[in-house]
Amino acid sequence: MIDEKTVRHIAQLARIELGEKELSSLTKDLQSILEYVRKLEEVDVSGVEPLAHATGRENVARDDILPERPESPVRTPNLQPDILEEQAPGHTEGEIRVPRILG
Amino acid sequence: MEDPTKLSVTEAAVHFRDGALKPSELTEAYLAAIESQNPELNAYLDVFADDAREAAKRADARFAEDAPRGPLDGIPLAVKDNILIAGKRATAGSKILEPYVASYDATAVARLRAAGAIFLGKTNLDEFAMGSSTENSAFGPAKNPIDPARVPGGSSGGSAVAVAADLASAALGSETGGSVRQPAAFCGVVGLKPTYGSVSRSGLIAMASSLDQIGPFGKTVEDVELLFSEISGHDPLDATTHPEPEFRRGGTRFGVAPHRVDEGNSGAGHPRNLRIGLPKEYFGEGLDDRIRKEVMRAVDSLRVQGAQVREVSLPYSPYALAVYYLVMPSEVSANLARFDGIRYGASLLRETTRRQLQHAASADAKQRENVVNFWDVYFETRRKFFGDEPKRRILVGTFALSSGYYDAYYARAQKVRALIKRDFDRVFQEVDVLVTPTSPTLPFRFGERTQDPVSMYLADIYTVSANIAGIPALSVPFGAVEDEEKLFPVGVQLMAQAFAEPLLFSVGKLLESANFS
Repeated sequence: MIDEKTVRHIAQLARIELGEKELSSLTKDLQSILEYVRKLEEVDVSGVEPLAHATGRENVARDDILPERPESPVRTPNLQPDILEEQAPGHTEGEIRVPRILG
Repeated sequence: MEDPTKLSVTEAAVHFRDGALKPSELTEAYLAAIESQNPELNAYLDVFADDAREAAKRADARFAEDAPRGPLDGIPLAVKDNILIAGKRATAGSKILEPYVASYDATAVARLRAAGAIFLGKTNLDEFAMGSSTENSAFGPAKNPIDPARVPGGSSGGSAVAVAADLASAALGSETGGSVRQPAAFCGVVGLKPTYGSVSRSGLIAMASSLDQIGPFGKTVEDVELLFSEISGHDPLDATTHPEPEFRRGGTRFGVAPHRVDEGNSGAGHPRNLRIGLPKEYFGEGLDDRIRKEVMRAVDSLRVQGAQVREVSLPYSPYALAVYYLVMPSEVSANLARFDGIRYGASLLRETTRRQLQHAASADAKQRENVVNFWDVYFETRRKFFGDEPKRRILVGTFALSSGYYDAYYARAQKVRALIKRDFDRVFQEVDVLVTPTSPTLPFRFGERTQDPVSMYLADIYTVSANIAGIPALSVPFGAVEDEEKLFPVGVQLMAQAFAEPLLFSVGKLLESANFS
């Protein structure tokens, strides 16, 4: 059902480069996993609504007001710019460098 | 005093209050134990000796002034490395996050910090919490302290080992399909998977957002109850958490025990009113007979105290693992898309930036052409730094969600998911708690299941249903099985309806008492 050509396409969608050996071994793994999950075809799901949130919460929203105090009663936000900047692989002084996209 | 590393959290708290033990002494004892045993067991990926000592000194001062913050003040904890602690590395067991330093505390961590708890370090796990043995960790597996030739279970293996080998008082792990309960069973400690939505996922590196929950490990049920009480609650930073009043419902005929632990209230249940269900689908083929025997002994220990026991059925159980291995990878494929080498983590860019900056500005057109483009960064970074299991699951999920396959795979799995939840809703009209084995087998040996991914997935067969249905489940060690001259405690799994953690703790304590007599 799933062949190397399909796996190559999926890997493209998932933005993961695969070498030849890896492609072959992952294709086998995927075939085995998808074979196992095929048993769901046995189930009669007519009229059944899919379950997304296990304990029933839906469409949670907060009021569109800027909070005056920290949002969480327990946490003080610690999003200092330099910590975040330092994490960026393409980081240089005061900037996050990213690869060229256009041109 | 006996070796302080063997104390439970509640025992240590008593000694702190009596002045018989200082928090700094307990922290020092654990740091020494870690230094001595971690090289072999590989439970910890990072140890925060200096920070822990400083925090312990501050706790000492609070006790000296008779002003402790509560029952967790001064208690040293281990935290799974997919849970963020501000200023500390968080690898999620993966090379792709090896350079990553967290910029904030997970809400669960912040709550524990406010309670005075001390963080000893971050524990080992299967990469991105994908696995049942820690063999998928990019930093080497952790070892089962009962028999180091065997796996400790996973994915929260490191945390389970930390508690079992007395390298921490208690620990935090995370659950998506059994990743707290199964290693708890393999290592002989207590582990809880909370009701979905009861513990904030803010600061937990996401694997499958509709399934993930942070869960505590402890040496006793009471310790786990204490930790759960501290970390649970509504969080504005996680919209999937439940509003506070939901917790008070308790959800059983036992009446509602306040979910925050009162000091001195042991919360023991009333066995004569307890209705226990044994789902027949969990006691069939594939279950080691010796484990079955211990689980039945546990059930009998409740029966002799007056509990009613009956067989029940959860007919969609055989489909739970298939549902899990479709829904979870689908959500994984979305959650791991953020690891693209741009904002954080390991990246092609780290290796090439300086050279790239020179080339991009070069007068030579050919050099400018060789500048790495963003495709390369995505494709190569993810190829190079993700391990095999994340790749497998990302690909399965991408396939299941892709055009032409979505209805047959993901959508169908979410419908069967609803049917599995319905099974539980129905059964909890007849019984209060379900008792099953946590794992069908004893801890397996390293390498036994790494050749065939599905064989590893089968380790979760009794645990995944609770995650799928969002209900809480507790694994409590009971009895033991001897194998190759080692004694392996057996994990007994208790499941109850959503928000019925108080009932799980009550029944867990009954089993604990029976086990020690």
